[in-house]
Amino acid sequence: MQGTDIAQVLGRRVLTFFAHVAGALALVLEAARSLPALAQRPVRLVFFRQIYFTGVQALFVVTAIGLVLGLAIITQVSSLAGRSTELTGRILVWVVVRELGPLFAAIIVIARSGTAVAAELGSMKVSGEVRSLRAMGIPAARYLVMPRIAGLTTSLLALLFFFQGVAVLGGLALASFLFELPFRAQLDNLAGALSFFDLSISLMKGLVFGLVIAAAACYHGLRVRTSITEVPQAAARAVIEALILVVVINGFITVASFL
Amino acid sequence: MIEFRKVTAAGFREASFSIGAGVACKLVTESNLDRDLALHLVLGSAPPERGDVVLFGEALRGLSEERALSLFSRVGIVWSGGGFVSNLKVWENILLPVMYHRGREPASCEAEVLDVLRRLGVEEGLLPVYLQSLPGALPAQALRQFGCARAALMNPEVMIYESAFEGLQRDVRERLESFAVWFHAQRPGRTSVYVSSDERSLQGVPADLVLRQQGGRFDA
Repeated sequence: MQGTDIAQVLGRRVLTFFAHVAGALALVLEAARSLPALAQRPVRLVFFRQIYFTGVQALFVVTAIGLVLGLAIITQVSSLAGRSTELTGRILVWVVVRELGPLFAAIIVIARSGTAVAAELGSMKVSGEVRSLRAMGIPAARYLVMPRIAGLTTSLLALLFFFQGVAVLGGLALASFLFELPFRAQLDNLAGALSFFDLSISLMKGLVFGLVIAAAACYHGLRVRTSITEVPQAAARAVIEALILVVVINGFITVASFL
Repeated sequence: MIEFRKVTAAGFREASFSIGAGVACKLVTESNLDRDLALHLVLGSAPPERGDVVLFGEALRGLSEERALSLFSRVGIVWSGGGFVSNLKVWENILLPVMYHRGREPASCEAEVLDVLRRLGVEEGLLPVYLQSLPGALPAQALRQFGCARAALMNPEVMIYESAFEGLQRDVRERLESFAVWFHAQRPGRTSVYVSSDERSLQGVPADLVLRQQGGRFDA
């Protein structure tokens, strides 16, 4: 393959990627316009179900990962920065609250719910359910997309703070139990280092990641046309694009927050 | 109520017909593909290459999505495969359109749903199990009966039956035919359209108008 061919292929892929991002963004805007439909009971039901599947059912995984990760980070940081220093608290805030919390919560949601939503919507498209809904005068954007985007984003925000709490408090408790680290002193360091700005960054990341993951999943799910073999492809595309976007946006927000 | 004005699309060549208010009509297509196309055209999901499809006096071409959806909500469709949302229980599926469009509470619909299901001959003993099941767990003819209940609950101005009488046990088919005739008479001006590519399957329902597809056109 010649250099120009490689450039063409790469160029096409980049353009396709941005076309998908634009499509997903249009879905988010459509969902925002449809938010008042949450007052309707059937739509609200889809919203609550999404919260259950994305948020409640992920609690066990998030707890397990949060505890282990929290323990590992606190052990490492304490061994590097000392048992009870201000730096320990600051590193914990930077690593867990601003970086790993949002990123891990997003990765767990992508793996569990991003694939599920894309596959579910893709299957509904193939089996004619989306057409059947439209025939009843029920738009997919309002009944299928908006409650999923809203539910997934709400769940991600909740999971994110839950993850941070488990990682920090659980990690500190485990570390103090296993290595006799001073729990109270470490907690005070963390509380002293934690600012409203750190929480805002975390909140912003959670919100943007939730919208990105849900929109990518809905967009690729609804792009499935007639063949069932398109469904896993759509799910895979949704995961890859959501991952790329989440990592890029995470880096962008992190850098911007230090400027 | 439904009008095709020189519609050209895939198997249709300048197809024109009009189904007015209060009419019971058999629409016989040459193939299942053309039957699906006819429904896609009526539901605006496949715009014609040329010509216009008119629903309730409004041409679907150029209509806003919001307006088109409000027209579709006045049409009830009994899909041959049920047309249910797979992740909702049958009971939730039946109530979905009426809760979405009319904001009705489930309890206020129970008597009406049970009345329709009794008319369709659904075994009462099996009802609680069926209604709490996901659609995928139900036999095809039960899905069609429940699809009928869902469409009827909306009290539509136009009721479309898509190959609704095909592949059913005799007693179930006869019950469904009687229901269709009874339901047509329940609302003055209601239009019933029986769409199928198999005209023999429509023998059990009387019609004021029979439209047969021939060479891409429809002849009365």
